Amino acid sequence: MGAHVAGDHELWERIRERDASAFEAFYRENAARLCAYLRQIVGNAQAAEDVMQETFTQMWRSPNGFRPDLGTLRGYLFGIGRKRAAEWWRKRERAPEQQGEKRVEESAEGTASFSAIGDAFARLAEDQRSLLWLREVEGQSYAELAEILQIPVGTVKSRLFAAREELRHIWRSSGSGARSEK
Amino acid sequence: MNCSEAAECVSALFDGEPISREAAAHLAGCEACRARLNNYAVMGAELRDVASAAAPQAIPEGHWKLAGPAAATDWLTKWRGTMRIPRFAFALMLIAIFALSGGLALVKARPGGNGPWLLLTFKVPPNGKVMHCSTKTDHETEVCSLGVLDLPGHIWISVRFIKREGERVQLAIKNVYHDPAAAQRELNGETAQAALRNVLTQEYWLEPDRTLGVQVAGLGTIIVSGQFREREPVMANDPQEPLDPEPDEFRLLYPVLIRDNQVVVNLAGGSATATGSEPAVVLFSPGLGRFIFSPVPFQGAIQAKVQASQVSFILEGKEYLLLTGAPITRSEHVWVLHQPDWRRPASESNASAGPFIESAGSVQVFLKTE
Repeated sequence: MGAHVAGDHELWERIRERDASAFEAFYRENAARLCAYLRQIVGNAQAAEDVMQETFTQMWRSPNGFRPDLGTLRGYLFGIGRKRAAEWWRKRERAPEQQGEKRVEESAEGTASFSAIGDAFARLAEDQRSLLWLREVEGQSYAELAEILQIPVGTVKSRLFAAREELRHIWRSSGSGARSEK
Repeated sequence: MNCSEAAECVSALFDGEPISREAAAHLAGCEACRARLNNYAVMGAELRDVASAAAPQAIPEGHWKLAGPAAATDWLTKWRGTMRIPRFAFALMLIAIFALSGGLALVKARPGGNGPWLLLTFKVPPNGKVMHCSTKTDHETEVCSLGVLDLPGHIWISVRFIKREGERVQLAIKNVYHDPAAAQRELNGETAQAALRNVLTQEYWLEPDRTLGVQVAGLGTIIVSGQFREREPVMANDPQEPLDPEPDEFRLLYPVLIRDNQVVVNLAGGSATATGSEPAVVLFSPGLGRFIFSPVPFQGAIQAKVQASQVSFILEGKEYLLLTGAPITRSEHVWVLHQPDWRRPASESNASAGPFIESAGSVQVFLKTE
């Protein structure tokens, strides 16, 4: 853990000093993961890639705000990504006629590639999808989740429980969860 | 301990978090809880499978390469390289310009400290009414806002924390004053967010042992002082506030909303107080929507039971309990409206995406902006 923090700190200093090769390596390591996470929030691959690109661009243009004592650089990146995704949703709400058209495409795209759990997951509220993805897929700790989502650690715990229960409920209703339990 | 009490501990245990001895003892002998744990493990594994399948096959070229550094950095570099007048003189000139244009006035000494919380005190003309709000000084996004509705006229102020250097704090402050005639047209009040929507932000440094003067068009100078605290003031809007609410006061301090025995909103650091003929407070959480609470009946709302610092009601077949840090109102009833599909208007797109609490002197303000 200590070595990881030191590594993040060094990498962050290099990014702040406009070291493009360091940022390129950081991008290569995290772009796909961030894109997969953003896809869960915004719902389609193209929008997720756009938001991912905006996230890295923002971090490169204004490298400030990261605190190694509060979490990892990846966690910080995902925090920026989450905020950019929220902005993306707000911009979309300004154009409701487009929203209706696109939602159909997104649903079809999502359903085709998702398993039963993926289907159940897609039916969760956005904040629950975001939280579960960061925990289960990205392996973020409670403290890192608190930093990314700007909520207390105790709230992380209760929200994770609520999200898991909701997912379990939907999943079992679909039949898959019930089979697994036996 | 029974299964429902231990359920949250199953989730914590699955994440490798410590749980209580009682919960551990229950889980060791409970088939249902072990099944829940097993479900969590299967769900997690399948979710990671989904993630592998969803990951993009190829990483696209990064657009960040096309972006130059932020404009401020360019300016700074140029300034360093091409300065032709003595820098000391230039710095003095900048300070003078700032002081003149921003209405910044250093008035008197104030106590300092090292805690992360900054309690801000506003002395508002013409009668020197004192208001407070508090902000944390370790997050860039922290905002506190307040409105004074009985000056005469209305003033709205919001303060966003920018950064802290030792005991100096940089703040972004917005304010707007509506004289009595304009305030009349405001439909008995307005939200801070709406009133300040199109107001330009001014940045200030609040220095240790100093106050600063913030010029308010049409009103005069507000004197702002700050005090660092180790902890958030218990009554963030007024450290001297009594436990008993005033007759026309409606307040939700540090609210926690529980639905069917599960916490769905926890605003541990948030509170809002409204006064007026139809005071109202809203609680918003992404994924849950907006709840409007008022001690007066309003269109579409259901009646809830209020007792000291608790409000209970049933909506859509679910039992809700709102717990707050202090008594809410002197009224015997509270009315609640749930708007699950409510979203912030596009004009407020720069606001935080997370949960928030907001108040207004009239519930009509919230119904109007629906």
